[in-house]
Amino acid sequence: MAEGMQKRLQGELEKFQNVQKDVGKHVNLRQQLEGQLSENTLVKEELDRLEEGAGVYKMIGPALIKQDLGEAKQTVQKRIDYINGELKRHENLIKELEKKADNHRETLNKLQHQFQQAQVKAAAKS
Amino acid sequence: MDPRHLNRLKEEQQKAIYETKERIKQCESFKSDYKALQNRLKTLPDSVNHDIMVPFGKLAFMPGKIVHTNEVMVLLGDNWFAERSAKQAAEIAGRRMKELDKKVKELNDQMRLLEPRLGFTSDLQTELQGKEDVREIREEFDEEQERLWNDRHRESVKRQKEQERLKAAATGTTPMAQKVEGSSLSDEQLWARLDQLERQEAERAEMDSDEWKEEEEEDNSSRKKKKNDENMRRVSFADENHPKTLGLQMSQNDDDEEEEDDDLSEGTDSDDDDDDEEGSDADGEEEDSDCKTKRRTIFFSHTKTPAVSQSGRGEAVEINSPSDIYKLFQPPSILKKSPARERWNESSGSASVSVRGGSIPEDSTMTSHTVDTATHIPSIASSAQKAFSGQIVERQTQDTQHHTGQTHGAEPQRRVSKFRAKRMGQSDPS
Repeated sequence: MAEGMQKRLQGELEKFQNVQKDVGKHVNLRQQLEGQLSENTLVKEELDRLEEGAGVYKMIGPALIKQDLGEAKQTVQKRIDYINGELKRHENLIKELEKKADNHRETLNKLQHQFQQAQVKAAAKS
Repeated sequence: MDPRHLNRLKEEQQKAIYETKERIKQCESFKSDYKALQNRLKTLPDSVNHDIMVPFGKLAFMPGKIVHTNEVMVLLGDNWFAERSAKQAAEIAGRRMKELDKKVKELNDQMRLLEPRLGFTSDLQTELQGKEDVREIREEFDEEQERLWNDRHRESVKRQKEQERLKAAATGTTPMAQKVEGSSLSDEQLWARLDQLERQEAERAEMDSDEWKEEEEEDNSSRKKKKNDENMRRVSFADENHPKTLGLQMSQNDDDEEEEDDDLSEGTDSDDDDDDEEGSDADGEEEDSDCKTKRRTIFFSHTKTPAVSQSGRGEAVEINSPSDIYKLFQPPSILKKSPARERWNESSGSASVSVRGGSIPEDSTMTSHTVDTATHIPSIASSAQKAFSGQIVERQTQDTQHHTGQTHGAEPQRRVSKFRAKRMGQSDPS
């Protein structure tokens, strides 16, 4: 009886830890995305300040490739939008994962409680 | 508060503060870098060529020349470059410095938040350790215990009250003196007592109005005594099983000699029935029901005041409703004195007067009728004084309305509005 309880406890604990890891991963990704977003916003600002005909280059690998100003602006804008979308998706994921983690935590607590009570009873009997 | 927890909290707070400090330092270094860059950019276009040592890989340099001194490739971010002149590049650097300034300010604000927190935790710690003069008082709160204590407290208070009451009964001291003794009144009871006294004040104020002056003169003495005795009221209810809270007095007293009433919480209830302070009648209301055995009864007795009128008639003294009281004793009316009313009162005699709300008959033939016995509406003669007679009257008929059974001249002088006077003057120039 006690062993069964223990096994259940272990199982729940593992699940809980997995969920927590996922949450952590997604949080990191999200932070990264945020950094990229701010960077791209800066780039956009500078591009806007550039007058027409100024040279814009994109670093692809070890080489600098000339780009058209208009095109560059569009590309950067698209990138910004993409990052925003990703950010929202990640946020939702994180929220769901956190909810799952909470549930697991509750069940863990309950099980622990029961386990302790069972132990107390067993100790009282013997 | 577990000291270990406190230590842990302190650690976390210190870590947070440390991190913020680090970030501030970094920002400051960036700023200084940008400053240096700006300076360099300013001097770069000074000459067309510059002799420099060009870095070659990680570990080597080579002598070389900078030829395009004004053309600067600026990294905008995310692998994007822009070709700018030296001046423009300097401007970009300046903008970045401003951003950094903002960041530093934010971090400083954060520091300002974090540092006091650390201070509080430290203070708490020292308090716990008892090094300072401040000590922490701890009381364990256990619901069970509290409840038990409350019950015991209540019982002991009740016992105390009982004792005092017995003592009062035995010694028979004056109520006022005993009042002073009764310091075991709980808060609730004190409030109830205050309410009671307030009400008595109000009643006394009422009594001081004109209508009551005569009666007051008559039984001034009895009233005085009554006032003294107002402190203890006895109210008896027809329903003897009426439950009362907090154990009332059970001893009965036919005379007006009252005993102390410690449990004033029922004072609120009994006062509702005490409206008969208005000396109207004593015989009707005094129900000295014998309830010595029943614990919870309130007895109510009045001083004997002379009945106002006609109770000596052959009518049964049976009183079943407030209207009976009215019929029997006819207290002075509380309504304003107006000629119409007086006439009405005179003519109606002792019959029960029931006024039919606001409904006034439409036909003007009623105007000449006098009042019958019992339940009949007063004549419309008073319509001249009423706001609206219920009928629309042409000017000509004003005269007919005035000359009714009662003589107009008999009416005492009454204030008439200018307009009415004018109208009346027009129709009847008198």
